Order: sequence, then structure tokens, then C-alpha cells
Amino acid sequence: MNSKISAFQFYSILLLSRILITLTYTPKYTEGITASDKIFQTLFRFIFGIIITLPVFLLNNKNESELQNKNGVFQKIKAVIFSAVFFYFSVTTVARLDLFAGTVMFPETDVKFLLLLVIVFCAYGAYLGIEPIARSAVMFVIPVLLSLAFICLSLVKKVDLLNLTPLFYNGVFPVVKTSLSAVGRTVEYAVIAASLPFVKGNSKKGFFIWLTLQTVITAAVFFFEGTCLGAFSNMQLFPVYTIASMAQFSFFRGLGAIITGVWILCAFLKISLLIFLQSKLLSEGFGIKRITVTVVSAVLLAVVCLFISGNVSRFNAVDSSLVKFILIMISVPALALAELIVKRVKKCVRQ
Amino acid sequence: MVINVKNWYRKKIDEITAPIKSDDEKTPVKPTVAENFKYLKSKLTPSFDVKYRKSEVDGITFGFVMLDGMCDNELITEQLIIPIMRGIYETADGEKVLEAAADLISGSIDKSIQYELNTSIREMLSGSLLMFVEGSERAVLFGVQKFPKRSISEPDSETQERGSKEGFSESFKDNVALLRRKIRTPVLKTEILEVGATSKTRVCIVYLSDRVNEKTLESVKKKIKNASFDVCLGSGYLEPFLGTEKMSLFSGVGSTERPDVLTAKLSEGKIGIITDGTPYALFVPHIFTEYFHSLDDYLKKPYYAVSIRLLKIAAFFVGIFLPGIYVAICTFHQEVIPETMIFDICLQESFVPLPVMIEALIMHMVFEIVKEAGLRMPKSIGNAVSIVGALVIGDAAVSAGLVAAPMLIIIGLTAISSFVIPSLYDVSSLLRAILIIVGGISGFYGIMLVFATVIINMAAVAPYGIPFTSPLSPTKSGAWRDSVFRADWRILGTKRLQTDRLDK
Repeated sequence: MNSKISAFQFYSILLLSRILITLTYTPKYTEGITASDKIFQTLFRFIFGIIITLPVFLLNNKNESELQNKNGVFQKIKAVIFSAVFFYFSVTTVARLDLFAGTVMFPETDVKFLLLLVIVFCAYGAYLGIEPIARSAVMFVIPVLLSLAFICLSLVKKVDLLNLTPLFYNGVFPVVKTSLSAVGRTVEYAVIAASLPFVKGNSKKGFFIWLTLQTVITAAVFFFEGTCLGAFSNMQLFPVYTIASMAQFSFFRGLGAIITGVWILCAFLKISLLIFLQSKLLSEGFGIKRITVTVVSAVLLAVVCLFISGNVSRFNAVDSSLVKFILIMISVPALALAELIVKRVKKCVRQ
Repeated sequence: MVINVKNWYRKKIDEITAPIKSDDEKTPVKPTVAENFKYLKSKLTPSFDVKYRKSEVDGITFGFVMLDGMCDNELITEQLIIPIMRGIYETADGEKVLEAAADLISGSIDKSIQYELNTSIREMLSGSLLMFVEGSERAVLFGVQKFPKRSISEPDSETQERGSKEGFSESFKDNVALLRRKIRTPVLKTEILEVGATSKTRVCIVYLSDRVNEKTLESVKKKIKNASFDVCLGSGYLEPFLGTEKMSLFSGVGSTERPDVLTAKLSEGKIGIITDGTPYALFVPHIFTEYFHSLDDYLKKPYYAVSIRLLKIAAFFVGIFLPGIYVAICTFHQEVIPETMIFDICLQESFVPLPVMIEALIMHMVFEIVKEAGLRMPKSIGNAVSIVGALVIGDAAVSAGLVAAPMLIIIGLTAISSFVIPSLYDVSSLLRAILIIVGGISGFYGIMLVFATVIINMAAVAPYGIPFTSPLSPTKSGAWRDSVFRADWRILGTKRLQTDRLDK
């Protein structure tokens, strides 16, 4: 990433990426906790988010980044691990989009063609580079936030506070467990770890604003989902889409189409970013042409996603919270700590 | 395999094309008039409009060459021939006579001494009078051009309510003069380059030296010099060379027919490119929000200007998205509109034998055909074509049940909206067709996907380091005072925008 992007642009991409996850979450991730606990667990996520990224920020402070060795073996290992993580998350993102299109939008149509279309367009976005992705994210972020606010406002009439339950109704442990699992599903921490050296501006401040905003948005979405749907939300495949479909504003009867639009925009940017990062890391680490990696990555993604397409059991097998948790825990704090230790040791040896 | 296909295609191209060659050979002016005439005739014959004349004064032979119809004959007789013929030359030395003869000519006529014949021919072909003197290895060119040209008139494509009525014409000298009239400052610089191996078309680069970015200027010059084509017949030929290298719907090169608009662009540090023979000037770098600006915005109250700009943006989006969204709603997302409305639409559409997507595509195509026919036909017939088209399509097609009335309203509204910004018409027409197809196949899903791709495609355009989407993204809030919004002149007038600061 020779060309740097601003912290505002970078966190705009990450915010859209997080909004996508919030909008597309399925109740299986929050099994065992009640509506009120779902809202409260966003605070735990906030704290875990800070803890998990602390080594990354320590690694990228001025004193440490001076010692960065771009061509070392460690960087190659990092490139491979991060690329694998990004590939895995791009597979799950596309697969979830496929699940949505195949079950909600076009239940009677084969959506494989659309799936391929998404991958081709995203590969094109990745080929264009980080700057266009970042600029697009800035342009999308305001309309997306406004759309969400609009949907939330139009849901106010449907809110029933009686659907809320006392906090920690099923105990504290399930809340902590789902929070940790949610952090594990957050590929954005890995994106931060991989691309922070190439972001100009105040990344720490940006990180806190991003984390706070995404916490607020997630809490708001959980609040409306819990209060509008109650226990019924656990029976929905995509509860956020369901509440959006219930929303009414003036003569508009359902706002599901807006959620679809937001979903596609966010997914497009997220998949483009993940493919771009894979190509960038591997091309820098191993000297392969970026376009070659982009094409190979897109083809692999298409093959895997076509294999999963239309089969919910395959999707469930691939979309494993445990695998994601392990991957994120390795790629974010473990790698950062290992690199930090290597650097400190090198520094000591030099002195 | 791929390489073989490439080679095969290259061969096919070579079979019907010839390499572009530029005649840059240097031939010095010969010492005798006869030899010079012989060389010129070898290059120019047969050309009935090239006139050669020999005259003798005090035993010294003068040779004149001019292009009939491109020179001012009265001026030549009164201001050139008579003074030269009446001149007293105290020497027989050709070089001295040439200088003396040139000195006799009024200062109001351009003069330039030439040592080389091919350059002289080129200048003579653009309306100068070429003079040789026996014994001199130099020639003199006199600027006595007078050729038929269109007078300065109101621009057709950028009509303004309160702005000036002057537009660029085909003569690039007149165009530069129009600019000079508007910016009376020594920092307005004009540089001439030549493009087109055969046409040798003159291209004038204009800029304000106190604010132009030197790197951008050098880059523009380099790109123009490297532009390779045989004949250049309009500024549009240069656009692909000056714009972004990435494949994009948007080029990052602006175009205007108005001297006042170009003046405003120059004042922001942009570079203007005026091509001889075309009434459209180009300017770089060009950003997306500029499409929604017009001179009238600055001549009216800011609140009105802002509302007009917002209206233009809305019209642009309506022009692109409306038919696609209509098709998507009719096909997949009936739930988003009120029941009564959807019942009406369903009822109307139920009489049409075609699917909504095909119906919309056909209507879009018919509209484009009517538009093209109206544009290319003589004005009187063009109007008739439009009326017949509107009647046939509008009334008869609905009565016959071939087209639904709501579809007609949608296409009509879209057409009018897309004319609000004529410079974006090509883009909106293409995107409209794509979105109709995508909306019919995949609903909002596909529409949003195409929208996102277009935005990223647009965001990738950054001519001369200035992102096309600036100041929206990258966010340059300082420039918002004149982007979608327009501040009052009391605020705008205090400081000017510096384009090169809109970079990443």
C-alpha cells in the first residue's frame, strides 16, 4: 500500500464492514442470551475490542515502526496468515450474501449467476486499489447511516419495551461467551493489524470513534430487534431484515429494500477490501503481481462460494464462530505480540 | 493461444492501416526564387488555390506565394505589394533587400523570418503570405489571414440566463482574444503546440502562471506532444490523452463552449486547452461536482443556486435510476410502494404483452433513436420527427396496448431529467440501459451492485493527482463552500479555490 489513506477513510471502510455484520447477523451467534443481554453485550465487545487491538497499536507506535523489516521471514508468515484470514472471511461474507439472496430475495431462483457477478465486481474494485475503495467508503458512509437512522425512526411505533427482559437473565457467562465470539467474528481487527502502518492521521482517535460508533449502532439494532420482534427474533434467519420489512413510513409499507441496498453496498466494499488486502500482502511478501493474486483469489473465492451456494448445512459448517475466533486471535494479538517481542529482542541485541 | 490471437488481430489491423508519419524533414530556403517556387510546386501541385507571383523592382526579383481565399487581398495590395514595389533598395544583396522590404511593411502586420521551407509552407497554408527575394536564403511570412469563419455567437450547449452571450468559435485566435478580454493580466500565458501528423492542428495551452501547478502543466504538455493521430478535427480527439489512464466512464477532462467558464476555471489554477477549428475548449483537472455548476449559479442568490444544484443532482440520479428502479419494483419489490399505486401499475402493465424489463429497454431505445434522428436531421425535419415520435410512441402505443402509460411517464421523466446536465448525457444513457437490465434480472440487489461499481470506478479517476470525487471524498470541507453548496460572494470573494490543494 504505497499510497496512504486517511484515518477517516480507513475507519469509514471498517464502519461499513461492521454495519454489514450487524445487519446480517443470525440468531445462532447469540444463542442463549435474551434481548436485553444482546444490547448489553455490546459493551463487553467494546472492551474486548480494545484489549485485542492493544498489541497492534503498541507495535505501530513511532518507536517500533522504525524497526519494521518489510522483507523479513516474519513479514512473509504474516502475509500468509493474514491472507488466509481475509480469504476465509471473504468466503463467509459472500456465502452469507448468497444465503440472503437465495432465501429472502429470490427464493425460487438460482442465484449462482448473481454470486459470480458480485465476485467479479468486487475483484474489479480490489484491482482498482485501496484509494478508490476508501473514497467510495466515505461517499457511502453518510447515506448508509442516514438509511439506518431512517429505518430506526420508522420502527419507533413498533417498539414494545415489555419484550425486554432483566439483565443477565440466563447468567453472565453466556453474555461474555457471545461477546468473545462476536469479537472473534470481527475481521476488522485483522484488517487494522494488517493495514495500520499505511494509514495517515490519528489512527488511535479514529479507532475509538469507530469502536464507539459501531457499538452504538449494534446496540441500537439489537434494541429495535429485541423490542419489535421479542422472542420471535430467534426464529428469523435475518432478524434485521425482518424488522426493516415491518417498518412503515408514510405510504411506504416495507423498508426491506433499503436494508438490501445498504447490505449490498457494505458487502461490495468489504469483499473488495479483503481481496485487495490479500493481493497486496502476497504481492509485497512474495513479489507476485498484484493483479495475478487478485484474479487467483477471486477465482478461488468463486469456486468455494459456488460449492457452498444454496446449501445451508455447508454454509453452517464453513461459517464457524470457533474457527473465526481462533483465526482472529492468532492474526491480531498473537502475531502483533510475537512481532513486538522479536523487535524488542533485536533492539536489545543491537544495543 | 492468447498471444497468437493478438498477433492475428495485429496482422488484420496492419492489412488495412498505414503507420502515421509526420513530415518533419527540414529543407533550407534556396537562394533563388525559381528554385523555391520549384520546391513549393513539387510539394503543392496540383492545388489550384495556391498562387505564385514574381515581380521585379530595380532588377531585384521578389517571389510571393499565397493561398487564394485564405488571405486578405486588399490588405496585401495596399499594405504589402504597393510599399514593396515603391521601395528604394540601394543594394543588390538579397539578404539586405529582404530586410529592407520587411521593414517597409506596417507594424500591424505580423512578420516572421523563415529559414526552412516546410515550416514556411505550413504557415502559408494557414493564410500567411510567403515572400522570397532573389539571392536571399531566408523568406518572410506576413500574417494577412482572412478566411471565412463563423462569427462569435451564443453557445448552443451551455445557454445561460444572465451570463454573457459570447461563445467560443472555430478560430483559436479569436478564442484566445475572448479570454484576454476577460482576464487582463500578464500572468495569462498562452503556449502553442501542434498535433496531428498530417493536419498539424494548433493547440493552445492557456493558464495563469501565478497559480498553475507546474507539474500538471508539464504533464499536460507531455501528453499533448505524445498524442498520436493523423488528423485532429476537434478537442474530443485530445480528451482520452489528457484524461485518466484507467478505464472509466468519467475522464477527468472538462469541456466548455463559454469563455467566461474557462476564465473561471483558469482562475482556480486549472489549465485550458483550445484546439484550432473547434468551439469547445478543454480544461484539466476536472472534478465531478463541477458538472452541476453553471455560471448562472454565481449570478443569482446563493440559496437559489444551492436549490438549483440540488435539483440538478436529483435530476441526474432520476435520469439514471428511475427506469431501473421501476423495473425492479414491478418485478421484485412490489412491497415498497402503496397498494393503490401498485394495483394501478399492475393493471396497466397487465395489458402489455412484454415483460417490464423488455418494455423499458425498447422504450429507452426508441427514445434514443428519436433523439438521434432529431439531432442529425435538419432542424425543420428534426422537429417533425420529434412530434411524430412523441405522438406515435406516446398515444398510439398506449392505445394499442404495446406500452403501459406509467412506463411512458417514467421514460419521459427520465429523458427530461437526463437533459438537465447535457455533458453527462452519454454516461446517464449508458447506465440507464444497464440498470434496466440489471433491475429486471436482480432487482435492488443488482442495482446497488452496479451503483457501487460505478462509484468505485468514479473514485478511481484522479487526473493529475486530483481525485475526481474531491471535495466529497477525500473530504475537503474547505471547498464545500462552492461544491454542492454555494456561499455568498462576500465569503467566496475573499479567497479563491486552489485546485491542486484538492489532492489526496
